[in-house]
Amino acid sequence: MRIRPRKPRSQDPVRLRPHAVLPVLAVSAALLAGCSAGASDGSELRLIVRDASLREVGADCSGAARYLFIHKGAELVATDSEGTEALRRELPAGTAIKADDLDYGKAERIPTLCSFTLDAPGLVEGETYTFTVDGTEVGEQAFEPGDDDVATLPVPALGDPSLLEK
Amino acid sequence: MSRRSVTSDRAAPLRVSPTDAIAATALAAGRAAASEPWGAGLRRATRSAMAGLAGLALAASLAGCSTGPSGGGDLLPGPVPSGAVFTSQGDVPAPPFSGKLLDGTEIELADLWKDRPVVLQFMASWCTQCAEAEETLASLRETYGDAITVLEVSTDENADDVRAYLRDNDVDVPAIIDVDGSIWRSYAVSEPPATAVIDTKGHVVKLWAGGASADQLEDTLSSMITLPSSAD
Repeated sequence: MRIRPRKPRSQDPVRLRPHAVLPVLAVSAALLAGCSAGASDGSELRLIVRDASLREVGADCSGAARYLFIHKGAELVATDSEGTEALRRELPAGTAIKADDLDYGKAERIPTLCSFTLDAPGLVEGETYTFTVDGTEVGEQAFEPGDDDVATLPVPALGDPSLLEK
Repeated sequence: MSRRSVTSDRAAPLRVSPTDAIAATALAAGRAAASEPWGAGLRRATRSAMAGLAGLALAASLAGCSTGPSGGGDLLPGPVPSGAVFTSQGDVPAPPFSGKLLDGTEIELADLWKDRPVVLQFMASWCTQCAEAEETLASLRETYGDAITVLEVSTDENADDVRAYLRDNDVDVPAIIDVDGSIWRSYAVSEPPATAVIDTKGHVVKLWAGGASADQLEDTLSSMITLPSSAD
């Protein structure tokens, strides 16, 4: 008896009936919507190194002194509470921003902080993440974008003012 | 004038001229074709040519690695121009240091400033402002030539990153990696770029956090260095 070779499954034509497709699409859409609920696809993360280094405002910068490892090209990683990596981004060049509102007259170099802004797709609002830069932990905090859709990660972390009252 | 006391454990770089490689390729192919019947000779010549081209590519890549600025001892300045006069202006002793340039050449800072003023440029390969400052330093070297020593002091951990930076920015001065950050700390440098000028008495004349501008360096060096005029 001659055995007729079976047509590989992959070559079988796919026939989808409309009444079967619609529920699948509906469920898929619902699942996708569920996955993206709370995720911050349009949000940004602003890492601010609070080093108070003297710089010209607006100049490119890196972290100074003990924060020298925070610089252009270094890798920022956010890990969620279960240890799952949620974000991995290469830092752009930092920008020097004023550290305070004092008037320094004609001084070209004044106390500044170094600010790095990067997109943060996938980070979930309200979720707490541990942030590292090139393997060094720089903070653990909840991702809370403000009205401008930018969440700030201060390094080192801000103190808790309520501790002074205790 | 006696040369600075530096020693080098640097191996001679491998240099392969691309034109040599092309000539060798053509020669090999021609020899193969001449000594064989037409068809076999052609095939052999083709194989030889292909092998030669592969060799050419390898040679070109090696040549690319061995040319361009390397941050080594070969980039230390030559003899001080005769007739050049240096004046000392600083009164703060420059923190001493020693170390190895990127090619292994050992240096002592004191050996550098005893002959001529030294410009230390504190940099990092990822520092955008450092790259912009290199043009200023290049024009400075054009003006003062062997009357000054410029030394890049990098905070990078990886020497290849520094080499790539030097190559990408056409920086043809020696470079040292401050492995443990002690040189940076001793000069109170917390962030690149920064520039220091040291006179021939070993004193810090100026130190600019944020790096020196062309005018600042020119003002400082012109007050320290008198070059022999071209009429002399």
